[in-house]
Amino acid sequence: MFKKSSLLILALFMLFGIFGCKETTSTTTQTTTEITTDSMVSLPDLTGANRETITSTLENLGLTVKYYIDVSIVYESESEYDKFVRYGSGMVTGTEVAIGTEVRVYTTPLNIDVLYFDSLSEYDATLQLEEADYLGKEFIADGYGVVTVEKYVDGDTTWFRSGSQTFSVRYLGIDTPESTALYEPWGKAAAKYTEAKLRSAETIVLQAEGERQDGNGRYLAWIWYRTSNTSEFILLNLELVELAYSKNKVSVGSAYTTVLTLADWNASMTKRRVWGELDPNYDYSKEGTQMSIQYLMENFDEYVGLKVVVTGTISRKIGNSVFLQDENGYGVYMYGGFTTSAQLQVGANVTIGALTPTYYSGSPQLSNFSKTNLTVNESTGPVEPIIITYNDFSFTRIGSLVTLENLLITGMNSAKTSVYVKDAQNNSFTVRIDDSTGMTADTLGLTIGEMITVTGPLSYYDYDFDSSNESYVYLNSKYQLMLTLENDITILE
Amino acid sequence: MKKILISVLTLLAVFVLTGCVKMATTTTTEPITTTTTGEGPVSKIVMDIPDEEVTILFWHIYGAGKTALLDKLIDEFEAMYPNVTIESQSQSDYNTLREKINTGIGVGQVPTMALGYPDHFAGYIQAGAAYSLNNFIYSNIQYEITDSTSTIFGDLVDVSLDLEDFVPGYLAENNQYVGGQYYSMPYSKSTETMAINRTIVKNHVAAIRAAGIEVSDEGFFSHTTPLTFSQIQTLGTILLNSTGTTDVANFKCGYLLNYDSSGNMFINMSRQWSAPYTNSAGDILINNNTTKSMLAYINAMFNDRTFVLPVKFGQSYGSTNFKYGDICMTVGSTAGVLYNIPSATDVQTNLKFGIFDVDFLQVPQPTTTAGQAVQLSAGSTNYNFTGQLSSVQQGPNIGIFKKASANEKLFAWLFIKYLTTAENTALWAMDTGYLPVRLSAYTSDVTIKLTPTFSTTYVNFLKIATDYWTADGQVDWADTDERWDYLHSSMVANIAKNQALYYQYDPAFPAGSSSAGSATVRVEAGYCLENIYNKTKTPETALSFFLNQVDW
Repeated sequence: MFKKSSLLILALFMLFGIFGCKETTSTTTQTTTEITTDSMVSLPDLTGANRETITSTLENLGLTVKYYIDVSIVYESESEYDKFVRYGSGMVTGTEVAIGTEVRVYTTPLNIDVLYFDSLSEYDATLQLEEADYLGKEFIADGYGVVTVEKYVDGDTTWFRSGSQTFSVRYLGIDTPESTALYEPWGKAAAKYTEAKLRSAETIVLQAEGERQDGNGRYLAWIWYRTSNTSEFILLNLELVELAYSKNKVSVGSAYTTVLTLADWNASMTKRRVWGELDPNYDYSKEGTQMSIQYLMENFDEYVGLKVVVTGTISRKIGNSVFLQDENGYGVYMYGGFTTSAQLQVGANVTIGALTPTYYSGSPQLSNFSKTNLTVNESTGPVEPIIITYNDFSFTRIGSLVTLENLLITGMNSAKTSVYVKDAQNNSFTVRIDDSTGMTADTLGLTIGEMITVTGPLSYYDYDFDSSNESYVYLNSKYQLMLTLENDITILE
Repeated sequence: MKKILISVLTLLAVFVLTGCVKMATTTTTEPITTTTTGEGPVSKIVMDIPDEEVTILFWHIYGAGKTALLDKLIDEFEAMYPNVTIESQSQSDYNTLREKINTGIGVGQVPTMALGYPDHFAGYIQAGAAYSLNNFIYSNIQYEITDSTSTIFGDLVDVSLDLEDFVPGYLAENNQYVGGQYYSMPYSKSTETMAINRTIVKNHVAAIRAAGIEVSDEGFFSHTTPLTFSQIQTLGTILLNSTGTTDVANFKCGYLLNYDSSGNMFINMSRQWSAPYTNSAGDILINNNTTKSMLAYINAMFNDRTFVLPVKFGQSYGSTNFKYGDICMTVGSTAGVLYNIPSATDVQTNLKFGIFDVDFLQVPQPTTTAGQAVQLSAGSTNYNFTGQLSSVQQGPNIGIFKKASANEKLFAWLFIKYLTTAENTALWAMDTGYLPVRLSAYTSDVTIKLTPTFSTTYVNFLKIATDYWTADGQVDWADTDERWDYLHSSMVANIAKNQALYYQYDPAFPAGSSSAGSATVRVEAGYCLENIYNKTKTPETALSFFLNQVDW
């Protein structure tokens, strides 16, 4: 009795199991049961084909296609975009697949279809700038106004001049990658594009909307330009988003939010530039190239924006920032920003990776410091200053700990943090006391007419420094000696 | 014989339940769950993990500082699931993130998953765009990892999630929506703590003790029991300078206690006073006598400089004036801890007390025991109410959008699970200053490398501050000891842990036909206090104005 019952139950379970399986089998399994050899096709060679061709070719074979974009390599010319790279899911040319299969295809990033910025009036005429909007107005007073460029900063910030006033403007609605103190992929490219467009402009008009300034005192504006007095104005903010030089940073309540958001999404689908494409001029390595500080200083321009690993002893410290010096007496300033590290002590010998060489008002520096890239080595002893004169000032000396003797104090700034001195040959330069030291000329007891000897890292400051100007000449008068310790200054009798 | 039969039946049942569904699948049918009741699965069904190539578009707002760690976690996840690509995109800020998604919903242009605040998700739910995570949380599916190139090849991966391990307050915030469904999970959470100028306190230890408040020789208050408002007022009589300016010689400030966020101040004090504020249904409940009494008290505290807002100094936060020595204490987000620490990076001449010692405490409470009758006094006026313990919880959550395919949703969910494992949430917390979302992270013994020379477990990370406090600040750590770099973060993590039991969330709701959404209500709550502080409105007119702005 039990035997019969067991068999019956067993059979029932098997039946249930089989039918149960059918019910839970995926669509792939069901498709497989219908496949015959006649319904198989071979994947074609699509080398060089664009999406339009790929789609029609595969659809003609009875296949559907799902696209992905390969951003694993650098593309160097426009002709390389929107091209077949490979099949996905392990498929290759010649693989046999069933008709009806969804084939995954990887292409290069896509070409950008410009829909809005050069025909904004067609999208929404009310958004287009007209002469009546700005004629007779001044930007700071009225919120609209014609301006000229005073200084290029990066992709989303420019100094403009309006009449006698110069002011910094942060572009509304965008946020280009960093390219000054911090380097990010496509930051330099965005900065160059913005500069090129503004240089080509016949007229530039700023338009304010909402808040007038940001937390850093920069005016906020939409930037319009036209290349001739007969052409339409182009909204540079929108152009940068549409060409994928910037993501859209929503300006809440703005009339341009919708068009920027739509342009932003379209750009993101191409995977161009900021949306994923590799920047050929960015160093993607985690640590960077290992080199001596001497080599870095002698070849600084070659490494600007890339990543380096350097080893040196901390000669002096300003806030979280330090001056590193190698055994050959070459030094460099490492900007520490707000990152505190107990290990960055004067006298410590450290190796720091992933630092990015850059310029700050002409002074070379290393930025991007992270504690995760810091190692402390066995101490090699404190850094001893080298005695030099005004005539020894040179780019490769910047960052080194030096002493200048017998300097006459000729003046000071009102904050008493810049002490103007001249040497016996009447060469003038500045001894700079950083705010973070808490010292001033007064607290140090310095007075005009006194003679002093000063030790400190050599620095440089030129407000008008332009890193893109390859013919820039370093002037000895703009070198500075950074005073960081009270004991580094001696008042001579 | 019966036993044999039962064995056969059991084996068959196992076969039916497991063997029949254990087939290679490339496309998951939706939904991949058998129960969404919240009662938990009875038995697991094992399936092969889908091998379809999937790209997850993940929107967040992190900059370079945080994306380095996020990228590391993404790399690890992609190594676990080689067919998955996580495309991580920063969208600048939360306004941008929300606006892009809100605009994108209408035209089907939304990411697979995104960070967001509760009011963001409330809006997405209302628009029908958010996906209920209950489909995964209570799933009874286990996936076998069949890709031999995976770092977890051969493992069984549970889709379901053990909610018991999450900080209860965070969970409550994330299932406050319609039907008690989870449309998001906690991710980067923070709370508020109170920074205090310990150098000033240390110079008044005798007077503070004489006033009946416990304080150590080195100026440390209790880190487990919050100061009460009554005690804060008492401290005001000791630490405040009578002229409203800083008295460096006598270690006194012009203002006692700053609240960075006036919105949080209004909302959290409402809870502390048992004063109705809003609810998840979108009802705005501020027009009540307790709220009116609370605003009158706050006004009195503004008037005698016990409380102050950053607007006094033309700032968005109180950290600058705290460092300058204008304020003795400041309540702010745990995510902004380091902004309160005076350091060598500051212009030293601005630091009236130089580089002083900073300690962190729980935010002040009306009482140390919830539900007690409390009486606060200002001048001759008494304020009576039922006191509750409350501290804000804030910071973004993470959710998935309905538009994604079944496999995209599945791997987005597994990615959320991976980001919030005990180890990863602890790592994220130590690296970013946010707080772990899992209780087990607080006791995790997994060693995490923070720098090439400094590794620690979260337990030992918390111990940095407790060791320092136990030694009354007199530790013998070398100047180069890396514990110094994490001391303040550890202090805040301990405080957050101690007040986690009374985290409360701000009910989230979108704008309705007759009232504003929760985000707007919060903003207006802040304006209400600023109007009172600036004396542009009385407490009564400020509340009326507030009500008028959010209820129509």
